[in-house]
Amino acid sequence: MNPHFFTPLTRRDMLRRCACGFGYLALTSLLAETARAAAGTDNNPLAPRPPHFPPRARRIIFLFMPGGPSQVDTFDPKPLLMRDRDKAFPTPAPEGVTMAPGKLLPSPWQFKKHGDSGVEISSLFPQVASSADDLCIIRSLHTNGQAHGQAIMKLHTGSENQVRPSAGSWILYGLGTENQNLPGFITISPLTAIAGPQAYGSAFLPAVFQGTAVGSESTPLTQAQIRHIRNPETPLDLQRQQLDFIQELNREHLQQAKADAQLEGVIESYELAFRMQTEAPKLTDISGESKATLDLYGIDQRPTDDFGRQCLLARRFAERGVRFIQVSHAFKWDQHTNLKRDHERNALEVDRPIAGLLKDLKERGLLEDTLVLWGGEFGRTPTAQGADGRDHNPDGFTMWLAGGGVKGGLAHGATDDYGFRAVEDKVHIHDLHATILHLLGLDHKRLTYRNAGRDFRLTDVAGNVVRPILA
Amino acid sequence: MSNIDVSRSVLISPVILALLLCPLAAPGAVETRKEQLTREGVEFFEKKVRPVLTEKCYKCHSAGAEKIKGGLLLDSRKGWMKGGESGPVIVPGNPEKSRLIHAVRYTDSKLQMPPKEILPAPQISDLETWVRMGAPDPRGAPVRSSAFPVPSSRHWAFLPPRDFPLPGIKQKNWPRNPIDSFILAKLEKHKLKPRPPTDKRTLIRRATFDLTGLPPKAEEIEAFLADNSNDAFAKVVDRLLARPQFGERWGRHWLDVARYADSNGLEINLSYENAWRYRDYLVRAFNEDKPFARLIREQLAGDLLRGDNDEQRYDQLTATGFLMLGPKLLFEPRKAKLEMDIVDEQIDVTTRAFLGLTVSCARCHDHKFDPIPTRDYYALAGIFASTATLIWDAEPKGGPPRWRERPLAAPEKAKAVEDHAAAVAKLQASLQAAGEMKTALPGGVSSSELGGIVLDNTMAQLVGSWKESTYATNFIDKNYLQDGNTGKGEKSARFVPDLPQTGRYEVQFAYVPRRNRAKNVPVTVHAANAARTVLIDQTEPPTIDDLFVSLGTFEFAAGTNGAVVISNEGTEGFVTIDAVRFVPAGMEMTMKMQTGQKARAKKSGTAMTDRSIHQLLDDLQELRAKEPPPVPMAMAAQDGTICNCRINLRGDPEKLGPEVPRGFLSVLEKTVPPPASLSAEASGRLELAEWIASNQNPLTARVAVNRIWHYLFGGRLVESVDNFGALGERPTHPELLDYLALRFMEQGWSFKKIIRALMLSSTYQMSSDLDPLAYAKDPENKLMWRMNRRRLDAEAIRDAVLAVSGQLDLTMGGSLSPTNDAPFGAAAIASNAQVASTRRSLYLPVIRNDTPDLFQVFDFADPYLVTGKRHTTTAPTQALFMMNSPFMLAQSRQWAGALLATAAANDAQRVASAYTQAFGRPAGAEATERALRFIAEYQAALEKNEPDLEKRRLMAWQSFCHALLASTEFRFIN
Repeated sequence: MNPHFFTPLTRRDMLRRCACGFGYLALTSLLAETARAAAGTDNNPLAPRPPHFPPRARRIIFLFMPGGPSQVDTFDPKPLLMRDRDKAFPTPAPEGVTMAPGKLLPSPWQFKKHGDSGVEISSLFPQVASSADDLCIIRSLHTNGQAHGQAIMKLHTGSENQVRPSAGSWILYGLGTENQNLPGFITISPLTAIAGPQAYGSAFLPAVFQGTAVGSESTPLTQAQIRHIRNPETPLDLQRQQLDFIQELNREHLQQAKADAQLEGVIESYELAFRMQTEAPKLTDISGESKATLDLYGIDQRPTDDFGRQCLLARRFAERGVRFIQVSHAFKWDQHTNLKRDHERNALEVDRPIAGLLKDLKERGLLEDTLVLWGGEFGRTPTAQGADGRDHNPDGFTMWLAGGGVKGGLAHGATDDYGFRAVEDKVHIHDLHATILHLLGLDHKRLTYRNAGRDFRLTDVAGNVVRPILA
Repeated sequence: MSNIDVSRSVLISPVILALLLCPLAAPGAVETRKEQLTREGVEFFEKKVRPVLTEKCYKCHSAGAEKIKGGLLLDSRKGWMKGGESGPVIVPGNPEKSRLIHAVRYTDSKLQMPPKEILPAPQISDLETWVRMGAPDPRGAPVRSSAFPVPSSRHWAFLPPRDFPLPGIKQKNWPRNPIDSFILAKLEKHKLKPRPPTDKRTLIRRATFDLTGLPPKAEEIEAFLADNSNDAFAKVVDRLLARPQFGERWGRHWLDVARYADSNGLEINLSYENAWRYRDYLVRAFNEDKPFARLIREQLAGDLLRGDNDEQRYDQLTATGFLMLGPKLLFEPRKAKLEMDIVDEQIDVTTRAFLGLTVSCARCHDHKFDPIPTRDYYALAGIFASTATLIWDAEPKGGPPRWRERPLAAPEKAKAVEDHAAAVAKLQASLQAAGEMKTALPGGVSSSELGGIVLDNTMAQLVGSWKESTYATNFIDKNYLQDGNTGKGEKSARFVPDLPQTGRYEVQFAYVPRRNRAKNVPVTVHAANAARTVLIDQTEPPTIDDLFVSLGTFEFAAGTNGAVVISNEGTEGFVTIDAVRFVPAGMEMTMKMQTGQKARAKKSGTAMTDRSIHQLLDDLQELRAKEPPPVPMAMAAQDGTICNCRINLRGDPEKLGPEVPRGFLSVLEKTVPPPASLSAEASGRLELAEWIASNQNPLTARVAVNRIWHYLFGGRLVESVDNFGALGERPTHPELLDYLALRFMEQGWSFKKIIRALMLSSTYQMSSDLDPLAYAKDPENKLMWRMNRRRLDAEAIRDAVLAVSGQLDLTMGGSLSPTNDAPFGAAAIASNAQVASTRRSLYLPVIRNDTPDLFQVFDFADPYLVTGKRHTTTAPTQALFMMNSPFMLAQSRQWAGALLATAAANDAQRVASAYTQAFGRPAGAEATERALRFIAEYQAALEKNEPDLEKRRLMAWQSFCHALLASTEFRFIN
């Protein structure tokens, strides 16, 4: 725990600290107090809220690998693929796989045991493997959706075919956020073409809970920034002068209204925004980081520079109390062809930054209460597509967790002998969501929102917490 | 249940959960019999108790348990009544005597359940509350179809509205019309007084925004102030109701409910290039005050209604766009699933929009709270399944299905277009067949098989001598080019595409790889604003379907402005050129799948000569030249194959139960008798529309007038505007709601008449000022003791900014999307139009997943969802937008410029004028002085940055104008 990183601001604290002062509110105290009581204990829907039970993690970093990394080439060793290479898949195609599977294709990479725990990881991820004892590898995931769009929506929102709030929005709705000077749910370089803003949208939840994008798929990270975080024309001191004038007008309006929680909220939001606008650019500016840290993430070195910067930003956001941080590698993992060449290239881009992130979080004591999640929207078939490719596989794939509240050095669940289908201790995406919420102190069955006549959940009507992986 | 009750902190968002939130007062030791189960009791059990029992107890105490422990069953009422080996475990009404409660409290060390871990405290307390309530438990009751405990016909919303007598009141001079009497009676009953009337400036600002979404003009305010007649405000209302902007404002309200968008959204975000016709239809309909019952019939079944003339027929067709606008998961591989998803979406929007019922909940199981069995759902589903929404064999063949569009033109014109399209399709089919045969030859893929815009090497402008080759085995069309590894730097090939539309395209290059190829072939893309050279290693196989490599995504203008140039400059080894392809951004994956599938589909066949392919191409070109003028098209419904639906077990279209005849909701059978049977010749949409729009229907008029109330008052009557079912809120003023519903129907379902009556009431004209005593009693203003202060919605904010800055373009109707007539629209292109236009917000294309920033931060209705009531949130992102967005900066500069250009005025007069424009009121002396001081100080502070005095002056005034636009007074209606 790093209590000093968090400034759990109550609204009252904020008013007290606020530079321009809201002391006049005390004068209208009676009315203001009742207004506040009516509006809830706090005006601010993003204020931190107590979880359902003590959490094991206070924030989450999701390292998303769009396109679908192959489990049998990364974290789920299948030696039988080598023995039975080029044979047909021995049983009928799993449900949902529309094309006849090709022949079994062994992994071009070697698996080795790593760490004290001896979990097996392929040579694609040598650096991540050095943190093997921190990884909680789930080898039995399964999902819905044979196409990228469906599976990405399933992973991000729990529904492959309906528009639903994203997991980050649910979490923000459930817990609020700890640093009011930053958005509570940040997605760095999100995809634009597939799923797009739906993957971090709030759907029927109020818009305050939607994710805030920093850059996008197509902007290099060196230029990535939050929308409208800077005034392109006005220097900060002049802007403060202008804001003071705006606030004067606003307070006059509020005085006429005698008391109004909405107007108060707007006044407050201006101060928050002004602080955010000074705070956020400082955060995305990494020039103050040491050379050693930059090296750790592979920054300023090809090919790790871009993803390294994303991971470093994720850490910087995490240490300042952002609740949900997503980092998206580009849509690169979809190797229907050129598995060997492209999986190697992709892994090279992310391996060192991810390992750097894990080590950095650990050194700073953040890993204890930060949950790190790695994976794609589905896995790939152990059978070949063409000579050197693998097709989509929603029926069995691997993701891993690390940090806050999960057992390290663990491989949970299993796919069949060839890695096609999850068979043992199966974990559905709903179960993963339930588990993530649980680690954050939320009961997925109680985190609900009333819409269109019923109470919706991230996990719909399903989901079980995967207890064996809890530390 | 919303454990975290955020709806309270999201400022005006309603607490709709009151019913569930307040655990029911313990009714004492009530004997619970099945017939005494209350709705509340069952709901509490279902929400709070059953989940705990299922999760924590069933493992050992249910019929399904591996081993039943202690002989105790907790999976039925009978089970716990009988109890286990040690007798009954629950004494209804008395937690202290209930062994189950002792066990979960863990106070007795010998009796602790669940054995491994004590339940969380809230769950224990829920169980206690439940027992105290008398342990209501519906399980084991002979459940017919629904656990709905209140006889269905008795839920208030299913009863016909009644004409209540006007209530007696004391303050007889307050009511202006019966609406006020109903409001006042309630207030007096609670010993509250209505707030006094608001001032005239506030009133006209309120009315103008409510009816037109725009601020009042200075001269309009002056005229109203000068008019001392009794009906001065009535004149204002009538004038506003007659303005064309009324239809724009109220049409937009309905678009929220109709989940309107100009694109499909989801993963194939195609343009709905004709959706705008539905939008414009609504604007016309609201301006003409088309009876709402008529509007219902037209939107659900306009295609089946007779029309007196073409214009009417086209309008009615266009109206059915209502059914077509939903998001469609076009990539869904299972046809039945996709069809049933669309049917579900149509049922959802229809029942929520018109009836305030959540019928979609009954897709997988009987509705949990409303008397809507799954059977009813599939009766309705049959009607929509008999309606053809999709075209399955749409062009391009093999691609996803397309939504149906119908011509708004004389049949012969439409037929000419159709025939021509059929002829083209036929030729294309022959061409494709030819192409498929050809691909079986040693050689390659036919460009006609590939998606996107393919330019074969035969279409390149060549410099230097290139050799045609067919030596390799995989290439596009009849050959490819190679440079013979000679004349380096002398040879190039230029490809100039004719692009159908402006936008972003991924540019791809096809070459034929081999070991002896050059590793650094320079390929230069000349795009709209940039040229970029990419070096291609031709020894490596292309990555996209073994044919293409991507050169990146670029912006291009429509027409022949772009180019791709391949050179052999500086290369070592052979340079090959096969083709160039332009793929609209966002379509890359689609293209890839198509070509991938095609590649797999290759099979041996007979050779077809190139000459015949060329012949076909020539024919096609000739045919295209003769294309008849396009006819306007509208997204419109059409009856398809008439069929009944079979129940989809658990909502799974592959697990079918019994067939259900098409029909409506059984709960209203007696109140609104449906036709004896639906014709086998038609879908039944027309009958459904008549049934919904019937004067007998207890829901339709109530739901409609409640919506009108919300748009004018910002809250209450029925707060859950889209849900009048058991989980919806109850009306605060049921008599008033019925009064309005009955008058609405009597007056021919006229929106304008009800709006007028509501606005001329004393209730509407009250001040929004606070009354501390009333506030203490009724902080949420449920009883309407004052007018609600409301924030402007996203469109009104943008339109008001443009109106004040003088930039607003009031042109009505038409499409702003540049993607018309595109075979597939890259919807993102349309979003460019959002930024530049100064038209009213209504006309900005609504692109799902890509709404403008201002809309996103100010709670625009999510275009995927039926939205009867928008959220009103307050967040720092709004402040960031207000302070920093280019839009706000540009508009405040425009406005400042206009103010300074008024030559006759002095600065104090300029401030006065700015205040009137922004707030509809004069600036007081103090405010004027403050404003002038701010401008002077700001201008002085600028000296270090800006040497030019005139510029400093403009910047200071801009900052002042910007401040007014960013202030709360601008953004709220008092």
